[in-house]
Amino acid sequence: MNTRKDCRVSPEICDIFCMDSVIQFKNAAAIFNHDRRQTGLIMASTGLSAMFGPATFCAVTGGSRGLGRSIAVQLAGRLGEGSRLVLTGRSLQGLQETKRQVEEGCPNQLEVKLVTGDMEDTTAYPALFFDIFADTQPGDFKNALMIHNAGTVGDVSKRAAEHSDPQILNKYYATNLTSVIALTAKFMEVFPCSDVRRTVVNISSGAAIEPLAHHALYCSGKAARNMFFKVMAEEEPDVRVLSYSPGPLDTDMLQTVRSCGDKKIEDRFNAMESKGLILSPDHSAKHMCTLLDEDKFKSGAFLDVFDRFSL
Amino acid sequence: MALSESVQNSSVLGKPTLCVITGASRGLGRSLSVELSGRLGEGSRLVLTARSLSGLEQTQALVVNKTTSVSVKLVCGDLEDSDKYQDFFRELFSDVTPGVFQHALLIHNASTLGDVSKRVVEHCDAEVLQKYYTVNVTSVITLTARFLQVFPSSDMTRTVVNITSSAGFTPIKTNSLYCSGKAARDIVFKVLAEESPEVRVLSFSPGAMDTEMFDYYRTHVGDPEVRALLCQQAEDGKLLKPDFSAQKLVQILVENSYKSGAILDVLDRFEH
Repeated sequence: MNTRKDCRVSPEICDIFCMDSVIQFKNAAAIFNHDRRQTGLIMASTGLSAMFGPATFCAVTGGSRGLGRSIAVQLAGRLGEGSRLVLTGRSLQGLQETKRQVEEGCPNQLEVKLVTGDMEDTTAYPALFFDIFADTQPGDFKNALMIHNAGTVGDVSKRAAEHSDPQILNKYYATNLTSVIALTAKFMEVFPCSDVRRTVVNISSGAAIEPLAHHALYCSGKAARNMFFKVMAEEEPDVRVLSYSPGPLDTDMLQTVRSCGDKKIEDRFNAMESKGLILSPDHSAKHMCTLLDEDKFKSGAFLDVFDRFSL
Repeated sequence: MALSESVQNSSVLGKPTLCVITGASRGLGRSLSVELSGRLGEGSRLVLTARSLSGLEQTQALVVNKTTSVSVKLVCGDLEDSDKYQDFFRELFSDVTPGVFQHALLIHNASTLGDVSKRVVEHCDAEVLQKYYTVNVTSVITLTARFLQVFPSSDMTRTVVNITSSAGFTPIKTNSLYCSGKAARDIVFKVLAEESPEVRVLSFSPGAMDTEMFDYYRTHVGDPEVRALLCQQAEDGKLLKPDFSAQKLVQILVENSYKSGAILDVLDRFEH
C-alpha cells in the first residue's frame, strides 16, 4: 500500500525551499534524459513511436493551446500510417492553429479531426463524445490513446473558506472530474477489447498530493483524478494507465496562477522563472511521450517531468 | 480513555459548543451525536442533519436520554440538492446569538459510496457522477465556508472534522467514486488547514464499521474478490462498532493536540 507518508516527494512548484533541489533534479534529469533524447532522435528519424506507431487512435482534450497543443504536435510526429488524432477544446481557432502545427511537423499522413466543445456542460457530453469517436471502428486501429489534458485551476483568488457557491463548484468538478470519468467510459466502450492496445493518460499535477494555498479546487480535482485512475489500473490490467505531472509550464494557465493575488505565490513563480525552472510545454510533452514509449511505468503510477516522484 | 472531570471541563469540548453533525440519522453520525452529547459543556447545542427525519428523531431520543445539558435541533435536508443549500445552511445556523458559544464544531460525516456495482469503465452517466461529487465534495466545501462565515471570529475555537477513509489513498476495485471523493476531501482540508491556521482541522478515518453503509457495500459491491474480503471481515468480527470509532474521535478532539490538517486513523494505523 502506498502511503503519502512513505513516498519521498519533493515539494511542489510553490515551495520555495525546494528550488535548489529542483535545480539539482533538473540537472540530473537533463543528464539522464540525454540518453532518452538519443533514443528519441532515432525514433524521430524513423517517424514512428516504438509503442504507438501505425494505426493509432489518439484523442487529446484541451488541444487548442498550451500543453495540449504541444502534446498533439509531439505525438503527431510519432503516429504512423492509418492513425487518427482527435483534438478537442473550446476554441476552434486554437484547435485550427494546433492542427496547422501538427500538419507542418508531421512526416506521415495523419488524419486530424477537430471537435469543439465545453467540458463544463454535462448535458452536451453525449453529442461531444459522439463527435470525438465518430466513424471509429476499433478494427481500424492497433492502438488507442486517450489523453485527458483539458483542465482549469478554478478561482485562485479564493481561499478554501471562501468557496461558498455550490454551482461554481459543481461546474468546476464537471469540467475537471466528471468529464474525465465519463469520457474514459466512452473511450473504453469504443475500444472494449485488448486487441487494441489502450492507454489512458491523466495530465495531473504535484497539486494532487501537495496542498497549495488558493488551490483547493485544483488540488481536489487532481487528487480525485489520481485516485480514480489508480482504481482503473486495478480494475483494467490490460489498459496502460498513467498520471503525469508536467511541471510548471509557460502557458496561459500559469499566468492565471501567478496572478492569484497571493504575494507568496507570485514571488515564488518569479524566483522560479529567474532560475529557469519554468518549462516549455514542448519539453514536458516530449518527456511524456518518452515515458509512454519506454512503457516501463507501473499502470496507475503518478510520474513527474522532473522524475521527482513515482507513486 | 476516561478523563478526569477537570481535564474534560477544560477541554475545548467542555466550552459551550455549537456542534453540527451531518448524516446524524444512523451509523457513525448517530454514535458521534450520542458520544459528543455526553462531553459537550452546559449550554451547548447539537444540530443534527440528515435525509431521514425519523432517523434523526431516534438519534435525538438517545441524546436526550443521556443528557439534558445540551439542546438538540434537527434539520432535514438532502446534500444532493445544491440548489437548496442556501436555505438549508441558513436553517442549520439559525438562532445563533453571537457570543453565546465559545466553540463551534462542524463534523462532515454524511457520505455515500456511490454505485459500487460499477467498474470505472461503467461510470458513463455524467448526472450520476455530478450528484455524487455534489454530495461528497461540493457540499462539504460550501458548508465549511458557510460555517466559517457564521463563526468568523478567531476569539472562539472553530473546529472542522472531515470523516474520511483509507480509501482516500488506497485504490479499491469498484470503489472509484468513494476513493476519489475522499482523496478530494482530504486535500481540501489540508489546504484549509494551511490557509486558515486559526481553525482546527482534522480528517478522521473511523475504519470499517458495523453499519448500514458497510452492509450496503458488502451486498452490492460488483467485484467478487472485494465482496469475499468484506464478508470475511464481517465474519471474523473485524468490524468496529461505530460507538468505538466515535469515542476515539472524541478523545482526539478532547486532547486537541493533533496537527491541523492531519489525517488520523481510529486504530492509529497511519497518520498523514
